[in-house]
Order: sequence, then structure tokens, then C-alpha cells
Amino acid sequence: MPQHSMTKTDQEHPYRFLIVDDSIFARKNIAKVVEAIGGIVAGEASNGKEAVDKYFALKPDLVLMDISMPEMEGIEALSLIRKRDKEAKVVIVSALGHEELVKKSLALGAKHFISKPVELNKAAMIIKFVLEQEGEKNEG
Amino acid sequence: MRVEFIDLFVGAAVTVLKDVLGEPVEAGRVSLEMALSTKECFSVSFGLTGDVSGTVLFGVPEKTAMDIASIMNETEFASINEPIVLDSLAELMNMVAGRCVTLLNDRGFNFSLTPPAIFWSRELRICSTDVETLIVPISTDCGDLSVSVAIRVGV
Repeated sequence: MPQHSMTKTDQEHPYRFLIVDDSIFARKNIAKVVEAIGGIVAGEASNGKEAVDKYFALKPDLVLMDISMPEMEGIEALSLIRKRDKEAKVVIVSALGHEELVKKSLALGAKHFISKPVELNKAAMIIKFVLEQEGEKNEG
Repeated sequence: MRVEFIDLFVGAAVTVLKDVLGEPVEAGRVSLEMALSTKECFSVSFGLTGDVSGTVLFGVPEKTAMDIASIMNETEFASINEPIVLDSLAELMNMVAGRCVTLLNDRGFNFSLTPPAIFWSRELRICSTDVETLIVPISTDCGDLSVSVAIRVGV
């Protein structure tokens, strides 16, 4: 079992993730984090528009979303997803991490912010934290 | 062009390259050109728009590109034509540019970064820029690469 492994406590099903990034390398790299925590990649998208479509088709437990992408940026996709699904859990994964952008992302409903280059252990801890926190809210 | 921007770009490039490729990574002496260009095989360019505008261009020789992609993906590549090689390079440069944009925005400059454009040619010269370009060579264990920065403030 991987070091960071976790599953939904009420069901023995692994968490399902949607990975959104225009870089193939970045998607592969983030998939390693998902695998490390025992989750599965339910789908991938390479721009914000595709992310919105796939979110509602796949209904993943968590979206890991890049910001700077062609066609539609991650911030707009985050906003569109959260407008239609207030329960949507989105974590931003970006090389851009200035204060204003982080605040804007959180104001639009992002649950957390992971900076690139992605450090596996740190990213795994953040994702676990978000999923556990949201799990506690649902239980409460 | 303000020196602090160059220092930030170089500092960000060295930090990210160290994080991803490991030590040693060292920046060389800055030189000045009147055109934005590179003679390296691969180029990755980013546009900057907002309080700071311009172009950042990374030039990477073919062997260096292959070696960098190998380290990033923990695998050897048989051909430079594999999409993941160029993609990895673009993502690495995206991280460098992103780090710079973050640092500059936190210093009060409001601007954003376009997605990367990747070029694969013997020589690249961008003619649209009419500002001076500062070029910084950076040496790594994978080989040397260059960062060219042509920006203006408040345009």
C-alpha cells in the first residue's frame, strides 16, 4: 500500500480524480501523486473547456486544475464548474502562485493551491487534507 | 529594462532548474542584444501582458533537451521526436516563467503569462520586439541553455 494511501471511509472505493493540464508531462506527474494516495485517474483534460465537460460527465471526487491553458484558463473553468455544482472540489496546481491569484482562486471556490514544480509528498498531503476536511464536513 | 527583472528571471530559472534537475545549476554573465533570437535547436517562448509586457525566450540545444526530458520523466528517450520530450521542456520553462510572474506580481506588477509556444528550428529570430534583449547563459549537468528576456514596463 502506498505511503499516502487513502480511500473513502464509508465505501471501499478509491477516490476518483480529474487531472486538468495542457502539458502531458504535468498530467503524468500529477497522476503519480494520485496513485501515491491510492486514488484513480477518472479522466484527463488539456484545457478548461474540456475540464468543464469532463467534470459533469465523470463527476470526480476532486479536480486537480492548472491555470494557464489554451482555449479556456483554469480560473474560468473553476468558476463554471462551481457555478453549476457548489459541492465541486477543485485544487489548483499551477506554476503561477502570486497572492492575488491564490486569493481569486479561493474566492471562486478552490479548496487549495499546489505550486509547481509539484513535490509528491507535499501535494499528497494537501490532497489528503482537502479530502479529509470535506469528508468531515459531509459527516458533520 | 530594469535590472531587478533580469535578476528575478535568472534567480527563478536557477531555482526551478535546481528543483527539477538537481545541482549544479549556475547562471553566467549577462549579455545585451538588440534582437530577440536564439541559435539553439529548441526554443520555448512566453508572452507577458499587463504592467510588464514583452517576451521571454528559452533556447535549448538538442542533446540538452533530450537529457532534461530523460531526467524529468525518469526514462531514456530514443528520439527527439517523441511528443513528451518537447512537452516536458515546455513545462519546465513554464515553471520558470510562472515563478518569475509570481515574484513580480507579489512586488506589485500586475501582468499575466501566455501559454508557451514551442519552436524547433536551426535559428529563431523574433522581429516584432523593439526593445533590447538581455541574454543569460545557464549551465547544468545536462548542458547549457539560455534565457533571453525582452520586456518593457508600463507600456
